[in-house]
Amino acid sequence: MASDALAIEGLNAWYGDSHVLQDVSFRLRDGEILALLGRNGAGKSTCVMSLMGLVARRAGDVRLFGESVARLAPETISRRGIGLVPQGRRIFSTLTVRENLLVAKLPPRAGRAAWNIERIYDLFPRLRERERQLAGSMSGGEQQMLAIGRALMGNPRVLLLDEPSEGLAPLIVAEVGRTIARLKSEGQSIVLVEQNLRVALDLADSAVILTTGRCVYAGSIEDVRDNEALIAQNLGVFGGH
Amino acid sequence: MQFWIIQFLNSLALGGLLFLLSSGFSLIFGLMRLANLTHGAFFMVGAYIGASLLRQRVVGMDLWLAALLAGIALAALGGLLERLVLRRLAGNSLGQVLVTLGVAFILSDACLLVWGGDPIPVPTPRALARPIFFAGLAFPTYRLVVIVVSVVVAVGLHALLERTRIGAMIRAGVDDMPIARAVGIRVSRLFTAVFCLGAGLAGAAGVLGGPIFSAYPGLDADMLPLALIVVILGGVGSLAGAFVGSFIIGAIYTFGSTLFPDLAYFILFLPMIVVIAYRPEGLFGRIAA
Ligand SMILES: Nc1ncnc2c1ncn2[C@@H]1O[C@H](COP(=O)(O)OP(=O)(O)OP(=O)(O)O)[C@@H](O)[C@H]1O
Ligand SMILES: [Mg+2]
Repeated sequence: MASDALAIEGLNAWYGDSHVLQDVSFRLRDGEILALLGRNGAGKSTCVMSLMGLVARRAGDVRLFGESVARLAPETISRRGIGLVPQGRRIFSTLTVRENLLVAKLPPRAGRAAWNIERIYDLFPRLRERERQLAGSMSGGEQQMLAIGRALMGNPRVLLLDEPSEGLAPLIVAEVGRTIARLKSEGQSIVLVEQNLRVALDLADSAVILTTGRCVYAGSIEDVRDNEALIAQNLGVFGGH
Repeated sequence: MQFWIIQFLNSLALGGLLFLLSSGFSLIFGLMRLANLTHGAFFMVGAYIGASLLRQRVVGMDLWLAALLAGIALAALGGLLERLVLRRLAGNSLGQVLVTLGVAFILSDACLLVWGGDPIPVPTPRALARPIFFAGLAFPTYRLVVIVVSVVVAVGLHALLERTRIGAMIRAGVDDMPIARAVGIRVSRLFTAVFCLGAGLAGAAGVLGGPIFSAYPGLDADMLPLALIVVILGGVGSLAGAFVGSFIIGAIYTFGSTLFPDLAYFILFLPMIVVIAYRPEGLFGRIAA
């Protein structure tokens, strides 16, 4: 279906011999946010990294707007339109803020306003102030903004956000949440990995729940919200409740 | 006094040549996590190519043109080696060490076959052969020029790495390779470019070192350990480290072998051992060697 931004079919991933992701399938509709949930170690990051082509041993199909990207190299997947904000931010700490954005710039996509450094600075004015600073010297919240800005510079058709609120102060979590909402309002399709259940429930349209590498739920976010048993069993703590 | 001036300029000239050799070695190591043990052979092949070009009068007597041509030839050779061989060994450190060492032996034997076992002197450019006299002392002109050239190259490399988008991409790759790829940086092209650059610099350095060392069998094995020590001392992947490390090692080697010839290697490896023990990432580096 062409209206699916991302269609994942039977995705498997291994680290060495350990089979970390087993037959995961889900779809993300264009312009929506899909929350990818699960306990620590459930395989959320492995899923995101596999979509990006960064897990060496993987199998299954990943289609981006109908086009298979499963076998491509990470740089090609990125150029086809998947953007990654990795867990732990992983900004290039020895580069300046501006350089972090500059190296990630990719050609614009037809029919969408292109991101550029100025627009990123408008989205995160704090980054403009710190433009010439080494990225590694910034606070965690600022690094998270930079990681998001860096991914946007590639004009992604689908944005993968892996725990963007992890380890951040509540005020910053709220700011990151508002940014995600704004991106969505501009039509950005997003896969959001989130431990903070409230953030996820507020923002997402649909949800996928992983437990030890298997997909135990894929459906609307409302059904997750109302299903205390599902939450208790698969997400453990009532994060944010 | 004259003795010390000569030794001092010798040490700086050696430092400059070591920088030309080790900057590429260090960048390749930093970006590709590859200890390119053919680097010494690139230097030697460069020296032989330069010697031949000058003796056959292909480039007249122009040492600079000879260095440029040898640099281009070695860049091409390095590019082929990277694309056809090393590329297949990504992530396999032992394989890389064995293959680069093997290619170094092959190149070394090939040189012996083509150029024979006798040293081939490389003439100093005539304009630079006479020393400059100042305050009653003689300063060897060619060595001064080599020092200037290495500083100019250092400034150029620094500008390339620190002031251009390509340079920032290389640094991003050194910093976090998987994420660099995930933001769309074509790391494999950067690998080839950096490898060509490093090999080319090594080849050009061989020609520029020619008037000082000549081209002789074993030049590769003499230079490679020095480059290794420089990079361990200065820090892997750091241009500043390669620069400072080169001049430190140039000085230690020159003064060590004139003042304490019996202890030359001991004095040379001592700072390396100290660095590895107390600061394994080197003076300027971030990754442990
Ligand atoms: N590089 C790796 N090598 C080996 N095993 C790994 C690696 N990364 C993750 N794992 C293992 O794979 C499983 C899934 O890990 P993953 O990081 O995908 O979980 P996660 O859902 O993202 O957890 P968290 O919420 O803590 O980020 C875990 O058991 C983890 O220990
Ligand atoms: Mg994770």
